[in-house]
Amino acid sequence: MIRSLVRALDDRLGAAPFLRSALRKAFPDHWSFMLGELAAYCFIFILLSGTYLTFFFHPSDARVVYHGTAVPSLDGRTMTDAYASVLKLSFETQVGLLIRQAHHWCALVFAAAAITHMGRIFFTGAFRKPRDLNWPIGLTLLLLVMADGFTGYSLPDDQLSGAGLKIAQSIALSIPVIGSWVAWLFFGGNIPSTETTNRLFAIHILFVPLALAALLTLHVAILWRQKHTQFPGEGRRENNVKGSPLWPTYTVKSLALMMGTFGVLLLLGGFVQINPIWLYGPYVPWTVSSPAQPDWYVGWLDGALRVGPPLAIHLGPYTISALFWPGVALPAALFAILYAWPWIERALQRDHAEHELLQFPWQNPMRTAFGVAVLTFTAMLLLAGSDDIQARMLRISVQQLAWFYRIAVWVLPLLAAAIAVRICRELQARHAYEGDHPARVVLKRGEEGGYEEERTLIPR
Amino acid sequence: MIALLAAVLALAASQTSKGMPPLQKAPPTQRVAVGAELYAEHCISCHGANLIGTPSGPPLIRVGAANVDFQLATGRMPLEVPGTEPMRGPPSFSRDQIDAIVAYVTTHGGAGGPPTPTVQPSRDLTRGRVVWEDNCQQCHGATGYGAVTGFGWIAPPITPATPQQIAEAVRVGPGIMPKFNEHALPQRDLDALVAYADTFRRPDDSGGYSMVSAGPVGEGLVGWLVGVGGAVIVMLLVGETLKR
Amino acid sequence: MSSPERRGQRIAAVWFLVSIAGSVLFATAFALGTNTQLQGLGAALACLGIAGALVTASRVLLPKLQTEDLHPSERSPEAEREDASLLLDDGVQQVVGRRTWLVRLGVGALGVLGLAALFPLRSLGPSPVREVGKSGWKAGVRLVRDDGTPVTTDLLDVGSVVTAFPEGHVGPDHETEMASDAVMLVRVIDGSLELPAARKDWAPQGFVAYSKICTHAGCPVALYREGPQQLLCPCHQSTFNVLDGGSVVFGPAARPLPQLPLEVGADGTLRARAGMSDFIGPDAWEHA
Repeated sequence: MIRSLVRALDDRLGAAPFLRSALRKAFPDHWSFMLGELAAYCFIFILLSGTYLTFFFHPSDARVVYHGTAVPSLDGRTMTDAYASVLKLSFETQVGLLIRQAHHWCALVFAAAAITHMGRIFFTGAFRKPRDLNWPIGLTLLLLVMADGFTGYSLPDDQLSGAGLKIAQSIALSIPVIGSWVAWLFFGGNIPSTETTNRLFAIHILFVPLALAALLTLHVAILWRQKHTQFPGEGRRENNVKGSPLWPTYTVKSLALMMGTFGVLLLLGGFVQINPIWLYGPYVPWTVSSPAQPDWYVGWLDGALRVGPPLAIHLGPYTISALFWPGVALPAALFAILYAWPWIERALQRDHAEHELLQFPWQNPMRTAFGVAVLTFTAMLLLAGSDDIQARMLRISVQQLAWFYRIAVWVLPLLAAAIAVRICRELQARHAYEGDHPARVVLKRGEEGGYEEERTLIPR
Repeated sequence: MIALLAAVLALAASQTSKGMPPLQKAPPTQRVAVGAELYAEHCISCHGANLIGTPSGPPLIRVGAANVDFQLATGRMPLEVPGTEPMRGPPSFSRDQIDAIVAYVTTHGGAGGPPTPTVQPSRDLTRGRVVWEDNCQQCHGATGYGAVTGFGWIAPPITPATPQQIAEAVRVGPGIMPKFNEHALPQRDLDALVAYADTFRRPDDSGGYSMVSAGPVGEGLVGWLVGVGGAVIVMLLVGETLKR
Repeated sequence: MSSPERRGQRIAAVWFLVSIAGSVLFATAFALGTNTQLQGLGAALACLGIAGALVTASRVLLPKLQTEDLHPSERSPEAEREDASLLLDDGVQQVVGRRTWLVRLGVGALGVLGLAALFPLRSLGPSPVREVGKSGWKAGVRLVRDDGTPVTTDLLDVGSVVTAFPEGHVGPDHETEMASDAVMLVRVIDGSLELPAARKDWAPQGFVAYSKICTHAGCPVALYREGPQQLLCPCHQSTFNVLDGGSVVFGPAARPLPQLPLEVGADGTLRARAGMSDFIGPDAWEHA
């Protein structure tokens, strides 16, 4: 049967040579190389679960009166059709709540997987030429994932996500010159607008997923063409790559990861409640609940807003809002540096060669320190975003805690970078004695007979 | 006359709250005397002789029975450390003693303050929820879990409070909580509100284990630990680690 | 067949059975009702069962094959690179040649086409500059609650708060306006106010009103801290002083809360004396 299939494909597509090389393609076995696949499988799961949800969600801000026994305190309440449709999906559709929750959990894991994968790429120097082409594509994929997550959880038009939409609009409005046009493009009017949900829906199920699919295909195609990098080791050189063959070995591993990921997401979807919009209530723009946080991958932005300086600049009839610095300038600067990093590092380290072998993080202290600083910075912002919850747990003033974060957000990354450099140098020295670096070995006769090795390092 | 009225109201209030044992029928003047003694022993250091207040505590002139009853019945008063936020705890006094202190304070502090409310939880959960969302959720949270209100203060969780206590708090506005009178929040709305607040004790957790008090923050933590963590376990099982 | 191989097969078989059980559980739970936990357990086991079997296969049953691909640089031979560049360049020369003016005209035409294509975007919403900063508050407008009932002085005791809107701008068709025009009406002790001189008569009988829309990022400043007399926004904890005209006590907000001047009408209702003192909500580029 397989023979006839291959022959049929080859008759039409000349596929035999491709199959020969593809099925034997080497995939390095290190577990961290599977992080990108984790993100890709999250994408598949989110597409499948999301498709199911589109059959039930009404992307409409039209007013309806909800009549349902599932949430007695909302019976008879006027609300948007969007919110009502999510209530119906959650309580009157057999697997609605499971799929909805699994879909939302998947979004959280998708963003986390993308960042972890990016971290592996960064700290091992995999983004160096010729893979500096794929680095901006990957970074854009991350931004698209965050955008899809934000638009997605804003669709049900509940109290929590509604507050987030208002904040997003305010941030958009703070962009100089084009701000109000950007805001109106995405929201279709001043919030609450009758256009918003429909527009967000189009962005969420069409524009961003199309862009994600296209860029992901490009991302994988480039990877396929350039082949994987690999960790240095025995028999591993700049002009080869060793690993398991795609078929059957790596296919089995990868499918195991896929089913494992799906299983974990379904477990979470069934057993851990997420985004209980029936408890939050429908969005009423002049009320708000406390505490109020966005999903974690936007949480660092919320933290930035909390610790941002109250600095508005007036330029005649125009104003640069205080929101501009943490809401627009900071993320723009951060991502600009991240996008440009392969070329920044090339210039700073004067390394314009192509690299197929990875580096261990300690082999490049400058890069590792920068990466650690960025991660610490974002993590501090993320923590700052939940300062009111921490203040409650610790029984301290949230305002005082905010002051701590205002300082820590700048100081701790520098500290962490300094520590990272020290650790790198320490590890470099230690690995020098473990045979990774060339050494001169002298045999010495011991006192009781026998020989001892004396290794001296040959400086690189 | 006023003392009698206050005492009768206190009696009525205690009869309508859930789970309160019936009052002993003591003559009003005796109750005031007992209250005076208790006041002198436990309250005078902060609230001053003759209820006029001290730097450590506000005067209790014309504060009303509901106020005193709420503070004592929820264990907020006596306050151990003056200047800190009064927090719910086990009451320091028995029901009879509370009534006595209420009698004393309202007799000697004078008429005034919000009257002790009566409350009959209604069936109108929808209305109760609207009242909650409009007036209460910004401090106490959408699910009554409570939240910070700044500078070290907290709006407490609602679930430990009885309907009577909720009604008293609404009318009295203890601590930094604002108060809502009968014009702003009519009896019908108050009845609906306490009925809705009662549902916080049996929240709808159809989706599974609830972290609603932490919201997206808790969800993010779980997503990383369980989601990414679980996947990484699979990766470690099928993948290799670096061999030394 | 070796013993680990046999054990591996048995383990994989058990995993597959777990998966089948999971699928059955899922289908049953689906058919019988909407218990999310049982459905989730079934679906998860169905997947994890297959995952477990595949993990076992990978670790125990399949041979540990290794392969090697050769990996010369992407860089092509110099001759080919030259060739490709020449081809590209040649084509451009053939089109452009001496006709640079024509090509420039063509590029210009494409550019104009692109600009024209942007025009349909204009239909995506009302003109933003006019919308930002609109307000229904004017002199003489009565304060009403969200159901339209007028706000009278007996609604608030000292220490009370209510959310109010301009009369005639409430109801299901006015939600967008209500979202901007909402005010926090608070009653404080008359003598405790410390308003600036120009606002001395803005708070009759201790009634004082501030915009409910935070000047930081637009969340409702809904928490009234009676006692310290502050308004707190729960989103990023901006705190405003109620007694002195809404100044910023703490927080990322850079601008005090706009204040609504009030007067008490003869019928005991509260009215606006004039419009808001300042631009409502967060700063925007066009500070209207």
